[in-house]
Amino acid sequence: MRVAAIAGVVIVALHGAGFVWLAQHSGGHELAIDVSNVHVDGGPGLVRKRWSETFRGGFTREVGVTQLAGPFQDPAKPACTGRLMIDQQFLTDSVAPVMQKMIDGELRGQSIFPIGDYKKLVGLSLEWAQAESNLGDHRLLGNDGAPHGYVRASARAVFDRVEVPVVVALIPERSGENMKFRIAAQADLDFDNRVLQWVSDKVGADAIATKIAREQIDDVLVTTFAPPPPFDLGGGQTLQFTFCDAPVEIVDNAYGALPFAVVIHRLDAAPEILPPRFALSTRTHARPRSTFAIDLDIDALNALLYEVWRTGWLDDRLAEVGLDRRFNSDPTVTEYLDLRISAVRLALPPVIEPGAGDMLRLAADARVAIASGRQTTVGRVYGALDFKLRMGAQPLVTLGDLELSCERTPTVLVPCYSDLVAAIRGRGNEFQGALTDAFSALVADIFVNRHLGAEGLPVDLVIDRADTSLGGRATLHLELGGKLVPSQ
Amino acid sequence: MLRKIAGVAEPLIAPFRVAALSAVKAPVQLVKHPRDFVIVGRRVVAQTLLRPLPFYAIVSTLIGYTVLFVISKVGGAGVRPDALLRQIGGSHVVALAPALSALLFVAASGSATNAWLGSMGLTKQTLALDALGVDRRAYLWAPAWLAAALCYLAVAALFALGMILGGILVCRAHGITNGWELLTGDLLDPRPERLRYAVRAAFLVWIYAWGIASDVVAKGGAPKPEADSVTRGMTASVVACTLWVVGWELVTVLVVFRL
Repeated sequence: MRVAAIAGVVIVALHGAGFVWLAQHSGGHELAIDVSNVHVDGGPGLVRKRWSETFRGGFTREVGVTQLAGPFQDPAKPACTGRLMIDQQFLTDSVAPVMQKMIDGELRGQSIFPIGDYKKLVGLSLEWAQAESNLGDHRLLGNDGAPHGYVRASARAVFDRVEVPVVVALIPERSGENMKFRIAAQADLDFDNRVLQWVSDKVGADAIATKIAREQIDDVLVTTFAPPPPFDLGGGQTLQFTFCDAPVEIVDNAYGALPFAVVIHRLDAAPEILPPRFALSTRTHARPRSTFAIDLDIDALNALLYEVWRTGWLDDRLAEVGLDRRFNSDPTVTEYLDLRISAVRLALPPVIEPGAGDMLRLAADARVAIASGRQTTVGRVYGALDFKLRMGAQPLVTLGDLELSCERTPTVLVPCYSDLVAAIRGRGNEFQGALTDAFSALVADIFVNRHLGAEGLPVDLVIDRADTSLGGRATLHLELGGKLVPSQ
Repeated sequence: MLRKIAGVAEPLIAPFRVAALSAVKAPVQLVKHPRDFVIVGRRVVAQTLLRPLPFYAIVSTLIGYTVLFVISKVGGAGVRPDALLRQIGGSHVVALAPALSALLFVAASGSATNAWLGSMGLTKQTLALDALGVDRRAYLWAPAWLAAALCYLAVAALFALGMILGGILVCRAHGITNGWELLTGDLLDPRPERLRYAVRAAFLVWIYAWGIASDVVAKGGAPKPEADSVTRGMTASVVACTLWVVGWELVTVLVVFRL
C-alpha cells in the first residue's frame, strides 16, 4: 500500500514535470521565414512575396518581403517621361498681349521711309500651327520646314501710310541640351503703287519683322515652352527636369506639348537602386482644359519619388509629419499600449504603378523600430495608397495595404502585432479624408504659386491652380491654371 | 506518535494510492470481469454525468453568455464591443472551463459518488464484499475511479461547449456572424501565441479528471464508522479537490507565463 502511495505521488510529480516540459515546447509553430536568399519574381517595381497562415476564427499571420525589381531607368539617358502642354488659349490670352506690348515698345519711335512713323501694333495673334494647315507659310518655313509644327505669330504694324502685315513662324528645335526657336518671318507689303512697292522691297520689311521677332518673341516662348523649373528640396537639393530627345508635339490651334525628362542621380551608397522603368505611357491627345497641363508618366513619377527618396527629403517630410510622435502620444496608445515606435525610414524608393481600374497605387517599404517594454524589434512596414483621380473631383486617396513583419534576426522575418495591424487596416476608411487632404496639399505645395520665369524677362508665369486626374492608366495628368505677372 | 502522524497524513496520501492502484487494477478488472465493471461504471456515470447533465448545460451556457457579455461592455464608451469580442475569441473558455467545470463536478458529481461509496461503507456492503473475498479496490474502486475520471472529461467538454453556445448568443447580438469559428478557434486551431493556453487547459482537464476521481474514491471508500463520516468525507473531498484545482491553476499559470 505504501508503494502504491509513493507511485501515486510519483505520477503526480511526473505530471508536473511533464507540464513544465510541455509548456516550454508548446510555443506554437510561428511562421518564420529566412529571406536572405529569397528572390521575388515579377516587376518592375516593388514586388512582394508573402507567406501566411490562417487560423480558425478569421485570424491570419503573414510575413512578407519586398524587393525592388527592374528594369530600371538609366540616369545617363533620361527618358521622355513627362510632357508640358500649353493650351492655345494661353498663347491668345496671356502671351499675345504681353508680346504685343513688348513689341510695341520696341517699335515706338521708329520711322521708316517711305511708310512713315510707326504708330501701333494691332491684331497680334499667336497660334499653334502645323505646316499642312497653313500652306501659305511654305515659303516662310523654308526648306527645313516645321515637321513637328510651329508657333505662328501674325500682326499688323501700323505706320503713317500703311499697315504692314507681319507673319513670324517660330519653329522649335533642339539646340544641344536646350530648346530654341528658329525664326522665320515675312512682311507682306503690298502696295498698289509700283514705286512704293519698289521702295518697300529695298527697305526690307521682312528684316523689320525678323528683328522684332528675334528680340522679343522667342524669349517669351522659350520661357513658356520649357521644362518645369527645378523644384527646391532644401539643403541645396533640387528636383530637376531636362529636355529630352522626343520632338515637341503641336496640334493645330489647340496646344503645344514639350516632352521632358526627370533628372536622376545614383545613390552613392547603393548605386544599384534606381527607379523602375515601366515604359508605360497613356497620354491622351485631348486639348488641355486649363492653360497648362503636365502629363507625368509612371516612370516620371517614380523618378521624382526616387529623387526625393535618394536625397532624404521624403524621410525628412515623413519625420515632419511625425507619424511616430502622433502614434506615441495618442491618448489611446499611451493609456492602453506599451508599444512605441521610432520615426519611419523608407528602405526603398516608393513606387507608383497602375492599380485596378482608374487607380494608381503608391507602394512603399519602410523600417521602424518597435519598442514593447524592454524589447525593441525592427519592423518592416509595407504600405500602399490607392489614388482615384477624376477630373473635376477631389482625388480620393485610400489605404490600399498595410503589412508588418518583424525581424527576429536581420534575415529572418516573423509575424508581429498582427491583430493591431489588422485593426489599423480595418480602420482604413477612417484615414481616407486625412490622406486625401494630405495628397491635395502636397500637389498644391509643389505646383501652386510657383513662379516660372527667366532672367531679363519682364513677366513671370505663376501657377495658381492644380487639378489632378488620370490620363489613362499610367499617366498622371495635371491641369494647371496660370497667368503672367510682372516679374519679381 | 507515528500512528498519529500517519492518521493525519492518511487522507492526503490515500488519493495517490487510489490513483496508482486503480490505474493498475482498472484494466485488469475490465478484462476479467467486464460485467461487474460495467455495473459499477454505469452507476457512477449516472451519478456523475447523466443526472447532473442539465445542470451543467444550463450553468455553462449562462456563464458563457454572462462572461462574454460583461467583457463586451468593459471597453466602455467608444470601444466597439465586436472588436473586443474578436480579441477575446474563445480564450475565456480556455481559461475558465477547466476550473469551473472541475469545481462544479466536485460539488455535484463528486459528492454524489462520494456519498454512494460512503453509504456502502456505512451499511457494511464493502465489508460484505471483503467477506465474499471480492477485492473492493478492483470491483468497486477501479471502475468508479475510471468512470468518474472519464465523466469529468465529458463534463469538461460539455461545459466548454455550453460556454461557447452562450458566447455565440453574445456574438450574434453584436453582429458577429462567425461566432462559432471565433469561439472555437482558441480550442481547435489556436494561433501560435495562444497554443500554450490550450495546452494548459488540456493538461488541467486531464489532471483534474484523475485527481478528482482519486480523491472522491479515496474519501468515499474510506472507513465510515458513523453517518457523520459520510458527510465529513464529502466535505473533505470538496475541500481537497478545490485545493487540487486552484493549486494546479496557480502552478500552471506560473509555468506558462514564466513568472
